[in-house]
Amino acid sequence: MKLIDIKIDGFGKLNDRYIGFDEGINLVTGHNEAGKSTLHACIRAMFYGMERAKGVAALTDEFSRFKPWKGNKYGAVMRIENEGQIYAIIRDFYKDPVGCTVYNETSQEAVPFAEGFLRDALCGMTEIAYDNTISIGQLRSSAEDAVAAELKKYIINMGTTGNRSLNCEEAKKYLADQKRSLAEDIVPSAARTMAANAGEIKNIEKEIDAPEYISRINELEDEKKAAEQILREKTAEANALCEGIRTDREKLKETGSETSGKAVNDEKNFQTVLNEYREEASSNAVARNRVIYIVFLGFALLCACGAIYCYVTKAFADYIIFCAAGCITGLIPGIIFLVLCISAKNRLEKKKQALSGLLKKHIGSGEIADSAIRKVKTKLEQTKELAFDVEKREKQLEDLNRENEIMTDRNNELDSNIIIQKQTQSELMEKLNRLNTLRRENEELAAAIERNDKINDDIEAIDIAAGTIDELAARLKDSLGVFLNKEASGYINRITGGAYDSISIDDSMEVFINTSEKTVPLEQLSSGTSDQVYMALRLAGARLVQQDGDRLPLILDDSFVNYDGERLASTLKWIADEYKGQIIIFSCHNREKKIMENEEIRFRNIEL
Amino acid sequence: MKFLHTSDIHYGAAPDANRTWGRERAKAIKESFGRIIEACVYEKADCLIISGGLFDGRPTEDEVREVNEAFAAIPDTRVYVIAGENDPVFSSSPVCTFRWAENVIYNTDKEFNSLYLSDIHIEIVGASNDRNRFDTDRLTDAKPVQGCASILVISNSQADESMMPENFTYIALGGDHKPYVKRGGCLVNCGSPEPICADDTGKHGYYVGEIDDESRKLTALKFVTLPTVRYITLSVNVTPASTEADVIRNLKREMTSRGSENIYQIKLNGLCKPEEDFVLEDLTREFKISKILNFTRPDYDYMQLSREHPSDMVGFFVKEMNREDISELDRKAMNFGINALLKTADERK
Repeated sequence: MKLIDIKIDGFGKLNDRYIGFDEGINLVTGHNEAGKSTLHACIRAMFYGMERAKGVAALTDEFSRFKPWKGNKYGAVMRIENEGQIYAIIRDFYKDPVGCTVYNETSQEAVPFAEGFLRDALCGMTEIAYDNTISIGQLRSSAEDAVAAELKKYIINMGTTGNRSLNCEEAKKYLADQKRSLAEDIVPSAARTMAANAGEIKNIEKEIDAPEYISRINELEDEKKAAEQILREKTAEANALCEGIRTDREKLKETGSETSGKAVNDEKNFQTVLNEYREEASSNAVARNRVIYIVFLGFALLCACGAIYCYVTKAFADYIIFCAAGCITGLIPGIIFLVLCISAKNRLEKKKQALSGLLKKHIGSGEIADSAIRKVKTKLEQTKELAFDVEKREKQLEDLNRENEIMTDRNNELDSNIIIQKQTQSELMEKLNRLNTLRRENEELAAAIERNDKINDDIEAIDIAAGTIDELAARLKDSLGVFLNKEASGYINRITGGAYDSISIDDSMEVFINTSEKTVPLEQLSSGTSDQVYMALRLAGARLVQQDGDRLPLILDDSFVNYDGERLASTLKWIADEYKGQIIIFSCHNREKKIMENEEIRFRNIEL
Repeated sequence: MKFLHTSDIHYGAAPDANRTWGRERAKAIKESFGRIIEACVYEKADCLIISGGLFDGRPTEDEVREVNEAFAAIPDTRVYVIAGENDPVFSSSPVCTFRWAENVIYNTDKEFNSLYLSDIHIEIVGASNDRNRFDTDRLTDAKPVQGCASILVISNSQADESMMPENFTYIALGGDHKPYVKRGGCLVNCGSPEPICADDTGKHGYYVGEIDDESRKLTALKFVTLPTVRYITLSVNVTPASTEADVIRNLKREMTSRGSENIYQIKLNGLCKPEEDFVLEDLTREFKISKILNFTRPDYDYMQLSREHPSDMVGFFVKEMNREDISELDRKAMNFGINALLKTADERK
């Protein structure tokens, strides 16, 4: 792209001026207040428009600074050639918003997207890049050591970000801070806790499926109630029985026959006594039969008579026989019989006494009478039956008591079962509560996991951003290294006439200018050499930014103010040789003019 | 005969337990349950059908007792309950061993069974859920057998209308917290009487229906809304011109007009100014806000950025990352990077 000419309607001190440019070197000269900076600023404003600040800054912004001194037009028309076509760039700075129109004179039509076209024509170069590359002023400060520092800063920033005002270390720290504050909100091990909870839930659910947890308390308590009722009844029964037994036992005690055995014996005994008496009485009757006495007496008498006769007759033999016979048939049996009778009578008496005694014992009077005997018999029988009955009842009581004991044991067992059931149930309740707690915890954890995921996504994105920045920085650093080694070194070599070979940068961003023999740190260069290095770098930078684009015009605005004569000559020569595009040099000296004339460098002189 | 239909009460639940309004919600759930019980008396309902979800998960003995007391207080209404998806029946469940009041039938059987209530000429077929997923094949077992009006009671939130049997007078469905009606009223999912979670937006209440014995048809069905706090989702579309103050102001107005007693979920969408941060802290102090979802994206004009920074890190970065088919993650990364680079650029200047 080349500048063809510019017609300024009004811009600062320039008013209604026409300036044409050649395609080669153009030298714009004039004394200090002629308007060279103004022209340069105008060219820049035509490319990039003008900044209009707001508020207080408006007093000193570009727009105010270059307000036209004369006339009411603030603008210009600049014609350029780009890729074989001629375009007119028209700007009116009074228009708000300030825009520009571009008109293609070759094809006679307006260019639809003026801003875009200009950007492309300038190879996408921004204002800042423009300021740093093709628009070359002076190395900013003129103080000696600051020069080197400035140069170095320039080099490093060109390399790492291409633009002085951006620094990726800060950006990366910013990202790291963001990441850290995000990470603070993450709930750690949420997923693990949730899985553990789910496992516990499953286990507990399996546990509570065990049949022992099915509550049987209701049944058991019903059973217990019924059993207690029965026990109560049975106990009452037993008590009643006991009472009855006690009274009857006392009764029995009174009769003296405390056991059924004894009663039976008593009865038997009475019967025996009675029988014996009766027997005795009846056999006695026999004994009381007097007839026998008479018989025996009779015999005795007979024999006595016999005996007496015999005695008288002195038949002693027969007398003895009759005496013997009399004894044998009468006396002795009679005596025996008498004895028997007496003993029988005694016996009878004894029996009678016995019977009488028993009768007295049982009914109070010893009188032997049938009615009495009957009474005693009945009494004894009753006693016997009572005794049997009592014993039967006593057995019943024993059985009942035993049953009640068993029932009591069973009831106690029921009680302890109920207690166990209640314990199990409260265990169950604990487990159910735990299940509920776990479930609620997991609900919260699920929400936390969702939040965690989102945070982790953001963190991942931050990592990607930081990684990409690193990658790009490395790539740019590499390309800086390449740039410095390839392009810039060549320029440095040529611009210093071979005094220096190359420029390099080490890992700690220290820059060195090198010769074949030694390596010189930037700080040690003279300011003149620094100037040249700066020039070389700007040129190299301009080439880098343009890449394969059409060569842009190089604008040197008072660049050589600090150069001495010799250096100026060699530099001018070099630039003229090196740069094939359009060059516009602004200068307030005549030195450049003289040198170029001497060296027969073709140029166009423009006097402002 | 007249019946009330409700489900998914989640008695005993404590939604939003860790928020300031948590206890109110737990109380509200019990109160709404109480209102339904009262309605049974007021409407002189013959039957109260609870199609699952009476309890919130596994009930405690106290909860079972409380609920039974409430049921016992309406002895003229038969209460028919099944266990739902969220409170499934298991062998040792206190619900199985508890001695329910006389008018309560808690059907804990997992197989479909039929219950005939002769005094009101109605057959109720239902089955409870156990821990496993609802087996839709089981639906073929659900058949009315008595020949009178019949009601099918099931709890299944994934229910597909086409799978439901046709020959019931009324199908009482449970499982879904939001009410809906299909088949002209014969298939009803009554929904929770109280919203349980933030997704339960809209109205909540219970259904009252009438069935005519003779024709065996549903003759009336009405939805009674319960006055309750609502969960409302508000979507805000921001533009690059919106500020946090704007958004707060709009939301405040909206939430005040809809009722500050309701519980809100706020979704922010759209493109916003890159520096704008929507924290909305003031709002969380004044209103009940359960969640703020921020889906906004910073409005970077990537083309302009790469134009303005063609030979510096911002430009390189944008050029490197900006592609046609850029993934969501990469776009986020790009925004983070641009934000960091631009923010730290100012510092150096």
